[in-house]
Amino acid sequence: MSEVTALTLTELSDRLQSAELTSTAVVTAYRESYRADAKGPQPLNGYVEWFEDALSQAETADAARRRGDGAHRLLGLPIAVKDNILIKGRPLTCASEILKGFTAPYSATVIDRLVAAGMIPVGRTNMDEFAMGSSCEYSCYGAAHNPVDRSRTTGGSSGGSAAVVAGNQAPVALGSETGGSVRLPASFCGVYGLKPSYGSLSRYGLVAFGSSLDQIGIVGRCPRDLALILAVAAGKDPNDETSADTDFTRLGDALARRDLKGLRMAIPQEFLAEGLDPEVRKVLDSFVEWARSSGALVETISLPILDASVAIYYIIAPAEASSNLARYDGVRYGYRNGETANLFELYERTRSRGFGKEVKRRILLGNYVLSSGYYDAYYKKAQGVRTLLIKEVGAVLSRYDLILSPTAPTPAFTLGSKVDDPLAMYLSDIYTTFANLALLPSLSLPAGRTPHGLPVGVQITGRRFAEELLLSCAETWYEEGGAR
Amino acid sequence: MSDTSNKLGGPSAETQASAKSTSSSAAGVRIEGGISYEVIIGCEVHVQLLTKSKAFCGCENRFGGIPNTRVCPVCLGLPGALPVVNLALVEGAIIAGLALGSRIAEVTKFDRKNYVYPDLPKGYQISQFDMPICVGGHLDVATEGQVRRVGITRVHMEEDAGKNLHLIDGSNMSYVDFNRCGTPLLEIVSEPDMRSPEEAVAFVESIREIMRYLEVSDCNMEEGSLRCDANVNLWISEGGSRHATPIVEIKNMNSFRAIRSALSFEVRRQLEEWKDRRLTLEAVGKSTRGYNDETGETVPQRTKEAASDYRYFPEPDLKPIAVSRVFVDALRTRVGELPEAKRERLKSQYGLADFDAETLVVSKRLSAYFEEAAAGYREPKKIANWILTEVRSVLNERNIEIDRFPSKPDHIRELLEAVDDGTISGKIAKEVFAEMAAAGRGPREIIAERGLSQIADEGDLAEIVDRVIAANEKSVADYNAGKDHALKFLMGQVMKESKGKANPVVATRLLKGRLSR
Amino acid sequence: MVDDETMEKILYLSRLAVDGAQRREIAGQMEKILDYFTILSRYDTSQVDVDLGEAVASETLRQDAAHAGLEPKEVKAFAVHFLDGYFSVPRILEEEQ
Repeated sequence: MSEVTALTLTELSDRLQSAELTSTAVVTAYRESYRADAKGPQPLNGYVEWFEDALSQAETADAARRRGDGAHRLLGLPIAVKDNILIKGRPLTCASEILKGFTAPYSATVIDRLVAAGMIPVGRTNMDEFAMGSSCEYSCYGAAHNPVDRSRTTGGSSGGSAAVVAGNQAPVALGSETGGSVRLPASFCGVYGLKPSYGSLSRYGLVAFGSSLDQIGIVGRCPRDLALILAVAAGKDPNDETSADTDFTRLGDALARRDLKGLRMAIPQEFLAEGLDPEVRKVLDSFVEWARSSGALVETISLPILDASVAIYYIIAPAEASSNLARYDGVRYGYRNGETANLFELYERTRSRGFGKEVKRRILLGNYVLSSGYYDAYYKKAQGVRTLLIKEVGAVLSRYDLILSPTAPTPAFTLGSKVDDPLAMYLSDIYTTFANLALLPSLSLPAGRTPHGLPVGVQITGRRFAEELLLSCAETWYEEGGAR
Repeated sequence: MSDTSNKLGGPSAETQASAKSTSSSAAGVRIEGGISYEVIIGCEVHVQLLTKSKAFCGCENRFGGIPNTRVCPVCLGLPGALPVVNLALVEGAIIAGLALGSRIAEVTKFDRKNYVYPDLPKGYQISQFDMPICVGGHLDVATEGQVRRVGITRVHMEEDAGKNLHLIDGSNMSYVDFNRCGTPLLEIVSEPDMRSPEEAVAFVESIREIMRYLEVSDCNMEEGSLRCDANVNLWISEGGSRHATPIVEIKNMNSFRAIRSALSFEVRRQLEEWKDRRLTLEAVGKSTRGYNDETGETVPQRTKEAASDYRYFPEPDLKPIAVSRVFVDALRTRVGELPEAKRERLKSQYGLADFDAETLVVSKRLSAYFEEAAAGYREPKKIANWILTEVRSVLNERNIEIDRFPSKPDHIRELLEAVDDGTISGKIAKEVFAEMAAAGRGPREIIAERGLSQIADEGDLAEIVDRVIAANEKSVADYNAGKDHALKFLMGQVMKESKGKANPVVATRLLKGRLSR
Repeated sequence: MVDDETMEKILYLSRLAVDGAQRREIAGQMEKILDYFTILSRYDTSQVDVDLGEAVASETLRQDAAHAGLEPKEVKAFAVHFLDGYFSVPRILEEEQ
């Protein structure tokens, strides 16, 4: 049983096709793994709900396969889904009290596509409330724990997704990114995390946080697994005007590794500055050594505008969020504070009791930077610097194929250590945010461990819609035994 | 970019404050109790578009219906939902802009206008702030023989909110229906160029006429597809100096009568307030008042200052829209001739009277029908008359528009030609028309089939005339004795004998010929 | 930078109520964050045309056609405060317009 839960999605798919395994057996194995952990002294708390009826869906998938019903590669395979992606008929809370009681009346387009290919969503994963956080500690369900060291955070906001994949409770999971929320937990938990280019995956059915930055992301155990999901999920969606006409279906058939000879990688020196943990630096250095020995050209460059990433991000994302979260008011769905005499109190009490501290902070910050008298100095300024950043990063990527850096300045930190210092928490995103701001695809791959055994991820970022390049480079790393 | 004007945008205090007083029009300046003043009015008109679906989702765009049945995740503001722009919204906006002489933007975008109200599910309205689809333009507005050119500041696109109902049920609750939420709207903002409540009414009426003509909106104030707010203040001249009274935005005017009544009341109120308190625009700024139709008065509406901080920012869920000149030109062709130009042309080209031209022009299709029917006919006025009386009567009766009228324009012409050439009489023509309107068949066909052609053949008619004379000796004698009315009677008999088919002209000639006088 | 009046205003815009002590804490945290934002003044944006993304040609916009949306039972499923087909809220008072 435990062996099954350690397999990759690709391996599981092969064994289902060869009838070595059944979907029922696979889903049962993951369920047992989850249940056993949940009973333990310090559960991962990666799932906020396991779907009990997933097993019967697995049985249906097995029956379909036996009938020979033109099986897609993904038929009968389980996937965990972050609790901010709508699945029709399932509860959806974004780990917030304000959405307790809400059941999704429709599915996200990405979910529809994966389900059409035969995948089985097996549960909702834990997250920072409304995806606002870098540690999965701002959740109404309590923090998720890092499977590698349960006293530490998983990273966030897609902490639950990374925990269940790294903790053998799901072979692959959907997360979401606005400023690094898939790559950071992937790095902290030692798994692969992909943020596709902005527009590659439809945002319809992904609860909006920072609309000009949000993307659904994929957490998995190997690059091929990410490719399998991307191949089915990506593509233009008439329900999302910002979605792009991408086609990654080719990647669904065995992603090929890439010869690194002649590949040009740039490391921004701004990402090697003070604040970078020496242990993380060491892992980066050994990765660079490997890349160079494989024939890649790796150079350090100067890109000063990157120092502005966090500031730009923490102006634009909260601004958009303050607007996106205005709809949570108790009028049409979710939690409503009933003890109110008038409309104003309804709004105020529902939101004050329904939202957690960090969400409130960001809403207030967002309204501040958009409000009359401050708009020009903050929001408009941030938009201007973002435009500069896009240009300058684009210029670097016209001379180089990839931008390489650590995913995070530190390995997973201990639970509770940054929870009361928002700015310190925000600086966890220091290397990841530029990719979201520049709409670029970015992938965190597990590159090594600290002497204490904590996973360290390294991040590769490419030109817009260059997901294939990222995945094929990561495949090369994976096939050469890269940091299991 | 944060805007502190009222919810519906509109002329800023600065524009209204600097409105030039018109030197040319004496009607603008009024004198009352020793105070000489000018009324400055600007209007914001909202027009709901006649599209099949809503502005940003595929829900049906239709008035009424069982509450909350024309809704979806997008227009309900559910988590994860995203807007998708309706092409017809953009087309409608451009068509309206072309009709108003606006400049159509080459790139336009949507912005979020953030405010909180239960009928606004997302907590923001998707609207346009600094890159509206249409800028500038004008509308010539006529009142009592005077024409004022009213400038158009802008036309922009946005979505409507839902509807709040307050029932008198003692429950202290309000009820919201989102069927209307997301309906496409155009906001048309005028310059503060109007100088009287009558001009404001005429302006809104003109907007209504144009939008209905273009089939962009049905502009029905009762159903809310035409709404109007107005900004009004006074320029007071006293002892050599001029003062502006505070600008007041008037809301809740739900009919043309209400617009006139509200603005008239407000003008009087501002004048009285000036006499009492001498409040100026510089000191007080702008405020909002609501019109109460029952009392005919405007009353202050308190709004928290912060509530009008809309925090506009570009809508990140929608891409900017590039509007090519080719696209605009195609729409320009579709719009064709505008009502004013058409009216003048119908008068000059066809010699129609003002009233007839105006009535025909109300509907693009009706005027097109007329022109097709009148093509090549020597007396277009007759065609116009027939359409405006006989045809319209059928349309009204059946509650249909001209496009559902079964007869083709050619048929109308043929019918009148049949009267002209004596084939049938005017009276018979009405009978034929009734059949045409019922079955959609051509007049010649009907006339032939029913043998309705007039008897114009002299031989045939002579026989009938002789028979009538023979049978009515007394009347003949009366006529010969000088009683004119007897001729009428005899003609009546001829008509009766001929079953109405006698050609009156020929019959009269023949009759008279056989009588002594 | 985040004085009481400002805090009051943005709390109102956010429809959030935060008590005295928490207010000061949040205001303090916000000031620290806003202070961090001054890093942006290093970059000259006076000549920058903000990139709003590639424009879409008007011809390619969604064709105007009506589709069925949510059915009444689907609305009822998530609508907690629903009466006779309407969403209900505490009475809207004039001042709140």
